[in-house]
Amino acid sequence: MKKTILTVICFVMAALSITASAAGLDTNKQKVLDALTSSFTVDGKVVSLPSDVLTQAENYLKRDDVTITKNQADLIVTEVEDAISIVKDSGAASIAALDARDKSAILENIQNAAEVIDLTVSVDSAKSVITILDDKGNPVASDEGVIKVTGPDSSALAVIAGAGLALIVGCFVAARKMRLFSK
Amino acid sequence: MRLFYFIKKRAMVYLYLPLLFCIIGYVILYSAFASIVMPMVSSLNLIISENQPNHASRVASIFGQKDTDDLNAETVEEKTVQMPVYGTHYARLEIPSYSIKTDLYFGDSSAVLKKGVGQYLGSSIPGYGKPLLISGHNNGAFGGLQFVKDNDIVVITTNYGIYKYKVTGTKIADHNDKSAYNLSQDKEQLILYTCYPFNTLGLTSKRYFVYGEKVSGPRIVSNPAAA
Repeated sequence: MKKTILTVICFVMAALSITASAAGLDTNKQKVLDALTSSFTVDGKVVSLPSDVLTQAENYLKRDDVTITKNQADLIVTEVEDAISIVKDSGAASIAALDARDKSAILENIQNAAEVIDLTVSVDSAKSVITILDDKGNPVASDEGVIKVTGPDSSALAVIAGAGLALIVGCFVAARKMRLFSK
Repeated sequence: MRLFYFIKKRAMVYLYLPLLFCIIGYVILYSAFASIVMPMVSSLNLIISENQPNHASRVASIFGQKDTDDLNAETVEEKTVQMPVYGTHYARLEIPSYSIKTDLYFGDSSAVLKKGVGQYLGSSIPGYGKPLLISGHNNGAFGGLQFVKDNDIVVITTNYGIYKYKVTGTKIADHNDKSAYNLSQDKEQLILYTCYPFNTLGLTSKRYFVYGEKVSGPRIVSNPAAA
């Protein structure tokens, strides 16, 4: 879906736009946030970033240890606009529908922005999750599911119990074969 | 000689199998009681240790570093509010009616949820007038959510203000059900959730949601004069 594509692009760009000033949003930070907040139309459909993605970007921008210069802000805004243009021009309805050239172009935009700042983009292809990490390895933003696992994870206990059971059965069978139970 | 022959012949019965069962039994008991025993061992170590423990490298916390003198003011200036980094303990969450008290962290990874309750990165911290989405384990502090009822008060204490939310309802929903939360609303709704059913071991697809509306606490403003 286009929304998904744009979410991912803007999401990455949002995180890449930032390096380390004071709490709240200064002009440069606000400029980046405005670029991300803007909506646009693709095939008559208004597309904008999901609110939780914007909030992640906003929360990060509001951090005391995050500053962004005018040049960085300009670069990020340009990259965001470029990436959006690529998606618009492609007319693709999903990331999978983008051709290899478009995917490479978007990746190049991301890499260009990444070179300017010290953030890392981690892509988990298996789970289709993108996570942005700061220079200390702290997640800055992620498109992982909103609702998390909050039950007791007893899988480790189950594995141990299963292994124990298998061992017991194995020992029993071995003992029977060796006639250890016979008098 | 005869004894040696006897032991050799019955080694499986009198040596290997008892040893094996002993090991298996120990592993199972350790797994079952590790969560109870380990804190006791840690406490014992604290008592007998000659050195002062240093937890700084394990737990990042900004809670307790007071940002403002009046935690019950009507507004608080944004520049005095410290935005927490992921995994940072930044507040305390309490539901006095049920003696629920727990540390509130920014971020909700499994590592964070082992320490306390965690706030989703895509939701705002208290005071911004936007929703807060907070999760916790049902075998931990949020096990008590099953008893929470309408009009109960949830208190979140931060360095810059004390926020109170009145419970307005509960809901059981699938974890994929996006109608269970609305993070785009311009309202400071508190959304707490945990896995459901409460007494089930293992992972479940259902979640128990508790909703609350803000009743007091300072608004974060970027320009106090304009507020």
